[in-house]
Amino acid sequence: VNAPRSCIALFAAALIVSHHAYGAVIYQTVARTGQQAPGTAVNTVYANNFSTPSINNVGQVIFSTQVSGGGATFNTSNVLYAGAPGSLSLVARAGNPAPGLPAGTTYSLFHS
Amino acid sequence: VNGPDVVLSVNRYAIFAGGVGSMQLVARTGQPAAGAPAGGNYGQAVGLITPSINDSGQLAFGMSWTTGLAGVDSTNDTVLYAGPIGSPQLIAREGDPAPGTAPGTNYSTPAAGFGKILALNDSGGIYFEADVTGPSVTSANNTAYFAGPWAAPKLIAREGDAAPGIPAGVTFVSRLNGGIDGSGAIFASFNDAGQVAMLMQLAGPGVTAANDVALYLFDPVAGPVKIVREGEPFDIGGGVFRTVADFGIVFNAGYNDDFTNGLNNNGQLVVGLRFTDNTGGIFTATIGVPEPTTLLLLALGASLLFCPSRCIVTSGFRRVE
Repeated sequence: VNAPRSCIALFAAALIVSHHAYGAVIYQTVARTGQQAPGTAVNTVYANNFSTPSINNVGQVIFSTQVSGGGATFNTSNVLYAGAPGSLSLVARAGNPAPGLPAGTTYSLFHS
Repeated sequence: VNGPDVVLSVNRYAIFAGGVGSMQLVARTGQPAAGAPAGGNYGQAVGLITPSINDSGQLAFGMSWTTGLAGVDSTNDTVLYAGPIGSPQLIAREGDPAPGTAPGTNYSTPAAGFGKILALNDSGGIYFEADVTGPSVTSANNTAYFAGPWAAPKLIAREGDAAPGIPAGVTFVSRLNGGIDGSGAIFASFNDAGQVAMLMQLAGPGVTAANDVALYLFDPVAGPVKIVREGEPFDIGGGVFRTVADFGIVFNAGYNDDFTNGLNNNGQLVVGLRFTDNTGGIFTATIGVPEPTTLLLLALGASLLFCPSRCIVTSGFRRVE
């Protein structure tokens, strides 16, 4: 009841901060053009053509995109990534062997 | 269904639900309709709106009642149900007052799009879209979006509403159908926390084709929160901004976590963006929704702590580097 004015002010400020924090948006970059593409050769970077991404209930995302540089060619530029932001894994890449299929069969394109 | 008692115009259509080996009849044309006045029956439009079932075995579905019986006519014959499979409850009926709207504003006819999208989440929450009619309703505000517990859905947005986070005068026109480039799902995302994410078409002063779409998250507590808008600068990291291009927001508006989705149950969104300089990226966005019991602690903590050096705070939006 006899709380110091400073405590009351602190409480009021806290409520104001809380009000503004409610619904505040926190953004995080998962991948963007020009960044090194994880799991690929040095200087292989995300290009563009990011697919429609999805997210699961533990915050892991999945998307496909194109990479360039580092020896990537038209036939090896399409890639599929998944994982938490900051720890993405290369799931599959065009030109790599497609498991369970006859030798010489490779991924070609990943659809969103 | 077919059988000895089936008459095409009377009782041919039915909805079933249940587990493998335990399917049960939910509703059938010609049967007494749950929640209807005495003598009211389910009508021909069984399955008019695609049913939705959740992980708890609850069901939501749209239905019509037979006109000409029990006071049912073309102005009040379309309904939405939700609840346990064996005892669905009437949650909305054409002609009934639409919650959160002015007196005299009612759910409208199915021909105008009643129940455009219907989704049920695993918490027993429901999301649906309905056209409304009434003395203050025009073509600019006749579609509304509702969400909440299935027993008490609330208005979360309506055509003509002011679009928050955007200069005054700009309003919602309608929900866009899915991913702008056609690659996303064509629904609204509805998660178990009762949040709805969808791309909204905008109109008003300063709105052009280059900035007429924004992604919003409609939170039960925080209300509509703008996530990103075409034509606006977006921080791609490190304080570097790019302008979101026309057709530059790619969002996967699946119904819920049973589909590929851009919104998860924790309020996290993932979105693809394309910028006017032909670069792009994948970004997540999360809105903070603290539990009521922890509000005070969080507020006190926030008042005592400065934002970590790795965070940038601008205009109420925070970026995690």
